Amino acid sequence: MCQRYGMSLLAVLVVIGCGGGQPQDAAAKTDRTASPEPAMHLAQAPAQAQPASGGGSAAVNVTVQFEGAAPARTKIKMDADPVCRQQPAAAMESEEVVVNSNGTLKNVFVYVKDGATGTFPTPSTPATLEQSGCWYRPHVFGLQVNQPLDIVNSDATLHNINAKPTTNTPFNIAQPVKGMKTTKKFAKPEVMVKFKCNVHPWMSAYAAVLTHPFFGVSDEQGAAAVIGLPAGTYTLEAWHETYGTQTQTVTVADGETKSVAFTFTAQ
Amino acid sequence: MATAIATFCLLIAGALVTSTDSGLAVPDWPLSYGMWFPPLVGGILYEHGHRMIAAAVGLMILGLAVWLGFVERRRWVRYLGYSALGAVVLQGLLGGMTVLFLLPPQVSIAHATLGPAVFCLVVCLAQVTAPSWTAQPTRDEEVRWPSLRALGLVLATLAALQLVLGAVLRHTGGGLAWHLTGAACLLAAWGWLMQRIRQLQGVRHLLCASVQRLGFLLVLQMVLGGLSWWYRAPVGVVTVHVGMGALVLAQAVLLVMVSEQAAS
Repeated sequence: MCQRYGMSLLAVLVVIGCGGGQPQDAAAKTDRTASPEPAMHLAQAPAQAQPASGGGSAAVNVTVQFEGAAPARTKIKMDADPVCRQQPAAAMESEEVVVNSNGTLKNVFVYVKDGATGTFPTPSTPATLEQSGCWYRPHVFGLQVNQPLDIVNSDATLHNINAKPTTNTPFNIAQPVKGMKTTKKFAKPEVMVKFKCNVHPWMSAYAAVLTHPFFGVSDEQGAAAVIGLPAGTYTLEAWHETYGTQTQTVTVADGETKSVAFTFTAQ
Repeated sequence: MATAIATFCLLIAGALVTSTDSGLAVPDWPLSYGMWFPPLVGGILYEHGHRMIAAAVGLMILGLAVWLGFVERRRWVRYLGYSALGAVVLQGLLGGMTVLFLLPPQVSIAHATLGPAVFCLVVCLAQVTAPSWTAQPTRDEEVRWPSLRALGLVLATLAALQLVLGAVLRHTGGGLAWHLTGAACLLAAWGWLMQRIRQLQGVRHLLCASVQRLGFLLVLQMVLGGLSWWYRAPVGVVTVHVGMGALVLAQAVLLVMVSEQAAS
């Protein structure tokens, strides 16, 4: 009789968590001992994944216009986490649609969808996705296939990083300590890979994984640049998380810089 | 009874995890961020809170099964207790798998379905160990087909199927038409059973209250389902809808047990 109940007790204890364990996927590629100092540096200058040169001399300067009434940015309630709650009020607005003061649209990913031929070396310099002030920085970025992606926690609170690709391998990792860094790579091209923090549901980011370096993200002026293009005809796509995609064709000669404008309209 | 109430609280906590999209807020299992008690911030409050309640319920069911093993004379009741223990252990493992394998729909649906089943087992245990259960009612003449017991079984099966369909809808976003059809079938089966009971005399007093309770729960559940759809799944309404689904199943199973008792 006692043996029977002993087995039952053992089974329940296994389930409710009597075992030790490391956070999933956090062992080999996660630096738990990272100093918080580099994180502070990152917080001041979030490292956008700057595209490497594509070997050409042409460029396309893109402006992303916004037409119609700019939607009001939703106020985010960060009360659930005392660390996040300390953010200034201006930092508590949603990032889904950010219309700049000059009527342009921020966080639009612009890239060469078709026309980039040949192979392009994978940059050894990692792209960085930083968790700072309970936001992902940058919100939208690009990187190349197999380029290292450093995921850094600069906050003194816990974050999980739930990457939800459909072509690449998804992962969900824990970064409970400030200064932690985990390096990941994506083996296949994919536009877009969504990142989500389930601890802080307002936190999301999007990464485009491309085979080439011809991409940019619109900034506070609504401007993005695609540089290093060889002469040729390209299909440019502009992607926005709320307003979808638009494409345009552009032809550039060696050394030429062309300007292209995309316009997204309020829904 | 205390274990049944705690299990229902666990169901609600589990529903909150899904409703708030906090299922992956804690990426590791069985520990949380490598700790027993991580800071309960944001989604961690829901996910780790669910785990803590689950651990408490697991221990309560373990205690219940051990207690039944020592004091219960009826073998089938002892086995019911062991089944509840086995089911809650399996449920815990499924919960861990949902986290470690990033919420695969099959595992999530199984986890969302087994939860109410565990609740039903515990409710049945509460019922059959209650002092009132031993009193046998007067045997009623049951000559018509289908029997009350068969109708009750159909109702309970439909309620269980409806829970599965609800879990599929919740975890995949598909199958709304099937879920609605299931609701209609459940309501029709309930109407049939109610009609049959009205025609009976001997066990009517025993069954009528049970069927009426089930009818009340069904109507409430449909209103909640409608509100969930109309208001695009607000956290509170959906959570109550999930909990109510488990209550419907439990009430249907109790009805089968009562009709079984009435026919014995």
